[in-house]
Amino acid sequence: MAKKVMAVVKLQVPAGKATPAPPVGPALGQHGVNIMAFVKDFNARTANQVGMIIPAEITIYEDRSFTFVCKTPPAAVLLKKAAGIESGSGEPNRKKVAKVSESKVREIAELKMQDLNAASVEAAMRMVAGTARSMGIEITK
Amino acid sequence: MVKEWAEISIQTTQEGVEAIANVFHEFGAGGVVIEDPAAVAALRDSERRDASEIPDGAPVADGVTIKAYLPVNAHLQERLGAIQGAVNHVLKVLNIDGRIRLQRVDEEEWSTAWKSYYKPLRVGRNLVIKPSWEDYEKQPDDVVIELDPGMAFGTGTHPTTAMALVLLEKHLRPNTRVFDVGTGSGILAIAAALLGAAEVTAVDSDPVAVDVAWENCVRNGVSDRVSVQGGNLLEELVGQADLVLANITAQVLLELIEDLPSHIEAAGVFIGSGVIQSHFDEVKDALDERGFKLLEIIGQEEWVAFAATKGEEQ
Repeated sequence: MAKKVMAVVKLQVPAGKATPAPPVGPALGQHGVNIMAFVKDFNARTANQVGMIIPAEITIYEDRSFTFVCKTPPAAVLLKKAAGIESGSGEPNRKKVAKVSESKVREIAELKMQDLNAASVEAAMRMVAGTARSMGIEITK
Repeated sequence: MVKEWAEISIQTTQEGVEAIANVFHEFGAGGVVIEDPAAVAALRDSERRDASEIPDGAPVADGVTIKAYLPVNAHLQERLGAIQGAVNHVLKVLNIDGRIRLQRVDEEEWSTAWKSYYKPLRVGRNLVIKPSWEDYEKQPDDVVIELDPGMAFGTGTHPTTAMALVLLEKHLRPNTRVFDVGTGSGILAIAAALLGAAEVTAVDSDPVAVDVAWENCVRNGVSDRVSVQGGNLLEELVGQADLVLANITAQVLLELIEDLPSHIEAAGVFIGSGVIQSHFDEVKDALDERGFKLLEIIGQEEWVAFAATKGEEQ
């Protein structure tokens, strides 16, 4: 029998290191989900990616059972990796901290298109480029 | 454990999600929640439509909310100030609007909500898991485990726990000695005692679990047969058991299997659970290497559980 979906929750948490503390606790707890069950599942599935931030999309059903899918790392994380930096600029308007090529932006946009709810690769590229700008990463041709 | 948290939420547009989530990550928030009304709509249109019935009236509002949580302590104001500054920079660069909201959240509000959906549950042949706050009328052959898992893993509803219980019920012989590694709520240790084990030692590296497991042992009247202690895997355990239980993850089981031969009787049985299907081969190889033969493998959803022994097949 089809189960009724009650909520969809998106999280970004460190791979293999989820805990029942916030943000996981309140995000799932308020919907009546057994928090520890998610923590166990998520850590088991992402144990090979420790050190990465992994987005997960959790579908919660009316009986409080849930399923979830793990996504590729967030665009910001992929940008930092491509640029070879640990963190973005504190003053992205004035201080640029790195450069990333337009083809790299396209590559990330293609990878993340679905997760970004973008209608086209171009729209996803605009979003990734915006994220880059907001972190003080310049885009080169 | 922190009991009070500050929730900082930013309502903005899709373009801002990744950048603002990144600000939270860089300030050490330990993760973010993204409340995205478009996600429900996307699910409705996706191929998973068949598996679930989505209320058609689900609202699709504009905008997305990104939330992060910080512990309430002496550094809170300073951290909030820095985060607000960084978020404002992002909003300005992207030329989008964003509404920052702060509120305090109490752990009590969310950590216990799931309890109202936790009901008595039958597992294996005769086992029944009964939440301590629920009523249950015991049938003649029932073995009832009364449980309040608190913030420790092991309610019996998870496939890994249920499968470990099924295997335990099948492979446990009466009056034997059992080790339960990574006991969590104590559910497997208590089941072993109620099913006839003479002596059970349960261990967990998390002090919260040690307390919760002990309370559950007392609740089930097995505190004379079960002892609960802190410790990592088999390190603190003395002697050898007739049956070793471990419902953890494939990675941790690999580590445990290295030390297993010195903690299990020659004809002893090892019951492992918490293994994701795709990692089972690694576990199988590790068992093989140490001379363990698989007696039984069971699976549910994406999980595998197994019983293995070095002795002759029973």
